[in-house]
Amino acid sequence: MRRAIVALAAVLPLVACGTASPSPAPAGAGGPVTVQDCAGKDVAFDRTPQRVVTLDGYAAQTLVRLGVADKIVGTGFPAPFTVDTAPHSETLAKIPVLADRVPVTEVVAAQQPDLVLTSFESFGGPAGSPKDADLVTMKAKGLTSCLRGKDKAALTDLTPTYEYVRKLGAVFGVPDRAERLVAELQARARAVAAPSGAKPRVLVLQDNPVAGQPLQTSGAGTIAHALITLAGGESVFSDVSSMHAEISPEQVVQRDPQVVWVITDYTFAKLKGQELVAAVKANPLLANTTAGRQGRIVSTSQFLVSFPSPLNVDGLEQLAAALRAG
Amino acid sequence: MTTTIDERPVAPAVRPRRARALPYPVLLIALAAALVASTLLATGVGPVGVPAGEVARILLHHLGGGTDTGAAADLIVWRIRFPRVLLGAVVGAGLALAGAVVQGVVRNPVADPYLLGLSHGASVGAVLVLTTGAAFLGALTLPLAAFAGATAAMAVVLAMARHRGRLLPMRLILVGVAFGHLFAGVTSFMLACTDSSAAQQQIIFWMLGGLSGAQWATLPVTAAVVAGVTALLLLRARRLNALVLGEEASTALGVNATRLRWYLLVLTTLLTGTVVAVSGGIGFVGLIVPHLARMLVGADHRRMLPVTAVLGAVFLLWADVAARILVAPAELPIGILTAFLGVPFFLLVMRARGLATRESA
Repeated sequence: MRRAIVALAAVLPLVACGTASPSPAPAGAGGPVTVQDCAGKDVAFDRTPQRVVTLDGYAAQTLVRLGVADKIVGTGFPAPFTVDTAPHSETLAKIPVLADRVPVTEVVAAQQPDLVLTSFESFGGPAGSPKDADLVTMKAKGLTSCLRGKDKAALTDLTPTYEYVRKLGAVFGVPDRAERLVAELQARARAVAAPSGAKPRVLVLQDNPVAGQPLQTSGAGTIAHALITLAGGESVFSDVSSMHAEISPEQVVQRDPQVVWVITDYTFAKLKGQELVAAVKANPLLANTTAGRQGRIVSTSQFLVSFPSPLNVDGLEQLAAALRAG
Repeated sequence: MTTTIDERPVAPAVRPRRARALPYPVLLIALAAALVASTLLATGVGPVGVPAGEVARILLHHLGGGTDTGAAADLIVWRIRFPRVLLGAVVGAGLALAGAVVQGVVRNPVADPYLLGLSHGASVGAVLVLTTGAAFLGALTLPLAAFAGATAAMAVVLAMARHRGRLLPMRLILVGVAFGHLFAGVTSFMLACTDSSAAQQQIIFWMLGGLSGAQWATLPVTAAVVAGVTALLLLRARRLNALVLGEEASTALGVNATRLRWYLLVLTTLLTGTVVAVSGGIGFVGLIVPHLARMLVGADHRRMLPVTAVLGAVFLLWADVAARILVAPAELPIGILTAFLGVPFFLLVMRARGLATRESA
């Protein structure tokens, strides 16, 4: 079955030339579906999308878990695949990679997609990548994840992730699978939910602090903030909200975090992975905090906690285990 | 407030001495031919390989009135690449012309739309829209806000630079630079305050500039404004020559310097606002291309303005090709390319032309 689909995907571009896109047998019920984008605007699908481009690996990871990976004709930014696990990692490895970063409009258009997905908050962020108007030009629908609520309140649970899974389930005609996936994720999240009690104060760091310069942290509007809350901790910088908030080193010392959660693999970080964690452990600025004195410095890859994806729960499990271990 | 003393030889219309000079009409025709050739060549180049014959067939099909065929190559070449190449030419011509006129009006060789705070004003308008998420006019909100920003900036700068009814170059530059810094500060402040990383990305992209917003729907408006303003500027080229001579000299030649400055600056604002609105802040073109043109044909604006426009068009078009393919399938901000391509080319021409630069305004 899988081989047949791969073969079909290989033939499709040839067939598509000069004719209206052919319609291979849709998986499951392919009737009209209408979902809402993040602005609350209706996005109507007459039939199940057959040629999907995922601009980033997060969206592909979600589709793989919904069992519709065969609809993906190409993906950009495959870096999140590096943290995925079997059996999904093998399926993901077979998806054609259009670009190491988010691909430009032309490259996306060459795939003649009928749906373009991103787990980022909007289209057109990276230079040259397709904007909403470009999607109209290539006659493709577009869906983004909706990270921020309309009221810009702090994010304290994984609602954006679950909603994204449900939305994609509806679009691809597999709402039952989406519900099952959400139920499974929620069960795992509940399993690690901390008993109420003392909440450790957690500082998120995205890079090794440099003396005299502001530190970068994840604010209250991020998945990372939601995971800290779910794991029974309390972010020391709940009062800033952006994804890469700059905070003063003085404030870090004053608020005295009990745990430092290093989110690794950000492109701007000078050190990657465990090298970054080691550098943070040796950082003199943190030596004066409770976390530094007790050596409670834990880490998670940004590919698990940056944008809505089913792997957010993996990040939650890592953090919860680390908080409990202390 | 005093005016600067013009120490340059009073000979703006003197043609540079050149050994193997092409006659002007031949040069202009050659440049125009180069522009047309560049447009076609640039349409053939991009991150997705489309054979040259296929590109030619698609262009001929559409230029002959054909409709979309639905093929991927057709979509890429006609809907995505060709409008972008044309927009590059239009924006390049507009920015270069704006630079040439501002340099003449304020009689300063390092002037460009940035120096008068125009581009920074446009940034404030655009960033306001991006951070507040306002979209009261749909897809046109961003370009209109940028245009309004440029206009407001020019109005403020002109109002503050006026002195006893006169508009003096030195005052214009000082006020322009001061407000430019203020606007840049406002932009950075809004960038620092916004929570949305998506908005931050868009703002940074907008500040660096780029042509990826090209659409058939908006291209005609930009092209029409640039063409119209170019025509009006060419009609004033002779008087601009007088203006470059200085306040007294132009008065002696029967030109009301202040009125002419007003007129030309309003046109420049229209030009800058229009192109910056669709392409963001692309630097360097407005500064360097006018000097290239002067080196080629001398400082007479009647000869130099058309050459500036065509050179600017060709230059930005190729800078964008490089931006599209150097790190394909990603894309570089075009400002990097205008500097990388422009500086060596500029130095080359300057050395080859030797003394000719002395006479440039």
